[in-house]
Amino acid sequence: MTVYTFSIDEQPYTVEIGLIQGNVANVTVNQVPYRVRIDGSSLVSSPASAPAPAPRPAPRAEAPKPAAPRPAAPKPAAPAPKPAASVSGGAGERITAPIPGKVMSVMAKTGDSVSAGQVLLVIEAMKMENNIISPIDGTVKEVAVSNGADVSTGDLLMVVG
Amino acid sequence: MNNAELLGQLEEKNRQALEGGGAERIRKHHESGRLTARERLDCLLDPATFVETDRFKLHRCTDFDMAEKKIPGDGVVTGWGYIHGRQVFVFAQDFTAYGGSLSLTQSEKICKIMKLAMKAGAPVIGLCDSGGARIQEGVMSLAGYGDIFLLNVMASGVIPQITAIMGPSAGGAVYSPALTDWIFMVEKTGHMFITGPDVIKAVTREIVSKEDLGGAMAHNAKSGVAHFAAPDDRSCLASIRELMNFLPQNNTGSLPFKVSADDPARRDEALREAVPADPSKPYDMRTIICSNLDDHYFFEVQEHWAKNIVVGFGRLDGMPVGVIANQPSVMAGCLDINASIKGARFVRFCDAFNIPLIIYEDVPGFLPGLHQEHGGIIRHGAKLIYAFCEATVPRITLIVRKAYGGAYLVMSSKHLRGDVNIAYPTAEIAVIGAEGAVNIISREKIEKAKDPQSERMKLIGEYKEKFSNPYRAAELGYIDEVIDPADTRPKLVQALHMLKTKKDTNPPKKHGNIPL
Repeated sequence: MTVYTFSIDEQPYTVEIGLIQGNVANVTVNQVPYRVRIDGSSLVSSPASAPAPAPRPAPRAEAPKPAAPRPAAPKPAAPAPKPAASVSGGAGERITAPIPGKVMSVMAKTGDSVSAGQVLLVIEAMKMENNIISPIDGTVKEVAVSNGADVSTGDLLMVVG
Repeated sequence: MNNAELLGQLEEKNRQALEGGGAERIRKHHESGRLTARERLDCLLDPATFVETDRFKLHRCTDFDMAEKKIPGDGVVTGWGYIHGRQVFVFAQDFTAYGGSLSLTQSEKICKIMKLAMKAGAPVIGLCDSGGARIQEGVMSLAGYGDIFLLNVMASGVIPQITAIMGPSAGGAVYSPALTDWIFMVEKTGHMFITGPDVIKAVTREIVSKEDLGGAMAHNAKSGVAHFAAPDDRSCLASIRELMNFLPQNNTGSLPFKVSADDPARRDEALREAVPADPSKPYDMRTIICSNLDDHYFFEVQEHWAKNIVVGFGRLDGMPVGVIANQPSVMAGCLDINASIKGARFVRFCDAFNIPLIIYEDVPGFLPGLHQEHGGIIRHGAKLIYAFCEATVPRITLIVRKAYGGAYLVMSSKHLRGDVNIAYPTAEIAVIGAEGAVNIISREKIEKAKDPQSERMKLIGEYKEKFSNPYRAAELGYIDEVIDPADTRPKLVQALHMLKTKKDTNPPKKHGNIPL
């Protein structure tokens, strides 16, 4: 499988070229699978999506598209911080620990711009590395933990806004 | 009146009924980004297949000047039609008529098509867009909800029941959807809650928006109430059509077979590298799942909630299968409360409707912690055990990597009536991981050693070699075959064909007592 990452208008795309059988290729764009027929040098997507400029992560085109094969980590609804518990640095997406463990490495610092799907930090738990990824494109507003820190479920790790 | 006049009268009545709440309300409804009930049914069903029932039915309420306000159809469009050429029964609430509020008449219309659906043995799909109970009708409206609940439960496990939340759905209106098999929600317009933001603010002083409280993502990612989220009405309805591809008409119907050009004997050598050599490294289980299924197509269900377990549908050599898989890239693939509940419900749906199960296993165990223990992981984890033990559909388990302790047993092991259990050479089937095992078994030996640390590492290495593999289990017959990962698809297809005629039963009983 070949993986390409590129961006169009700052929108990141991860394209995986999977199995090619005859003139049909299995291509995954931001985890949305497409069956693509190869006509010479031009590519035509067979499901009625993949609009001309670039396929969107969550197709909203007129052509109805099943909702299921959408990216694994789409933007969740706006965060619901309790009004009293507003985070320093203003509103943003609060990234919390999904599992108790130890912070192995922090891979972004305050001020870094990050994109959706990017690994922000790695937590070791259950003898496994757990990649904590950014749910949104944005800037790191706060880093709440450092390497070696023990965290419990729900502990604040980072704020991205 | 002569015949022409009589026909004219019918035409006029039809025209009135099709108007619903009137042009002005329809305009406002469209402005809110929603389609009308009839437009939704047009999108959902195969073209021109809809047959309407009770178009002229009226409410019988006379209080609060209601006698003067009558709209033909009373705020819900009911009937039947076809999806992919297969019959389905449908109801769509019409928000433009009395805000889609539920009257006894509306309930009677819905119950009528539900009863027909059960007799005909075809799925029911409800499109909800309702302000709630018709308050003017008082307890009659409540009776209407109760009648629907009862039929939901009677139909459960007999015909597939699907609900789409395409507008408000509050109070009593949430429980009929909750009793059905699948809930779809439209982002921004679909909302479900027992009590709305105003009541919550008054009672608990919590301030929350409607969307954060009960929007599509709140229920898809946080509560686990809903199974699918769609950005708009059209894609929501398209997703329902897609789901229907995998479902039988009823609990005795055959599964929708679909010829695939994908070779059932197709091998995939890339799978040999799919599992990282380092057991502490995560990977996306969906890579393996997609590689195995026909056309690499996996229709994931409840993808935003309890992501440490992955469930969904696909096909193997044309036959629909339900997939349930540990996901090592989320929470190390641990089983926790939510994952157990998500998995158990999916297993039970597939078992009720005779959909074979393919289980992918890489699980380090149940998630430790006070929150889990006091949250009742014992009874929730038991749900998954119960569901697998009870399931009589063909079950094929593939152990990809870790299969430790209780979690090994839970994931459709041989001991819980798994039919075909195969493993990759990377499989580690053991009571616990090597480190934990050595700390317990050889504590004294390590303490007495000259260099405890190196003794410990040596013992861990020995344990790994002895037990962290699939061969101990294979020697005992708990694993039928250890396979080359490149052969996964052909092996799964073979096993599924072998099990096509499988028959198994449970002892006769009124019903079991699943730990709820």
